Amino acid sequence: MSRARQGKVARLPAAIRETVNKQLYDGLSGPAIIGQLNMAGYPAITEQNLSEWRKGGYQDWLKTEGQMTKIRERAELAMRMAQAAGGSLAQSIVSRIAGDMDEKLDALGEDDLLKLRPILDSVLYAERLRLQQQKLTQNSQVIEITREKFQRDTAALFIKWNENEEVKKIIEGKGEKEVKMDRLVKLIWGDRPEATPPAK
Amino acid sequence: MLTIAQQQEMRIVGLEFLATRYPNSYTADAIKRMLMRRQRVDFQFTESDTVAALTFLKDEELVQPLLDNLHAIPAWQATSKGVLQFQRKEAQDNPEESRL
Repeated sequence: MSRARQGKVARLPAAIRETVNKQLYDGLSGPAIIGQLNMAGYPAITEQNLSEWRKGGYQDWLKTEGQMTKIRERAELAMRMAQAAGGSLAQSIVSRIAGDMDEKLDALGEDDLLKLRPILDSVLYAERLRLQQQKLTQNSQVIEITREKFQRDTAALFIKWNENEEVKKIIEGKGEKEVKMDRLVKLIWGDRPEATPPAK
Repeated sequence: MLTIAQQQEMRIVGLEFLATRYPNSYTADAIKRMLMRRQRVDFQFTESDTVAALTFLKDEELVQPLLDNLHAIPAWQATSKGVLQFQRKEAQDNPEESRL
């Protein structure tokens, strides 16, 4: 079990300690924090006290799950944004863009980040839509290529089977058009495999 | 010039920084700026000190420099070994929280 801290900052009321931690987290300088403590009625805290707290109590506070989770969430957000914006970029570039975004988000205060969050979500949504649109365009290109391939394959088959005696016999013979087509399909492509019955 | 203890602290803080933010990657300059902004250590350090700490971690295969065709300066990323080592240390330091 860890021993309770005994430094001057550690003996401040919990709410004041929390404020000091948040100010350190927001990058406020030592003299500025001490100045605020003085104004709040705690004049006995020196730079040395704060320095010791920074090494000990503040590090404990930083390691609390809440702080770590916030950092991870922000990093994940940056990664998602970079992925959305990156599209087909190499993973190394995406991870760098994410790091760059994370640094910029890190420079914002907690309040600014909360205010910015809906805007970031909108940007992400817009990027998702753009990627979906891109995917749809790619799909229609694939369909067009498949259609062209089908037409060429059919033309090749027509040339191949045009001189076939059996084909000629089917085409020139008597009978319904549908029956002739079935016979031609069977001749050219063979029997279709039996459909697999659905599993019970 | 950092003392041996300060160099060691830089390595610990550097690994924690990258492992927590995995898979993001950061230039040494960005890592230095963010650590300084958060006053993560209680002494002054330069970008070279950051690079030295990262190079040490790289030799231990805990972090890796990523280079791509667009940038001349590498961005540093924790390796899976680095993330694992950091998480194990976290679990050791906070056994109550990691028991779940």
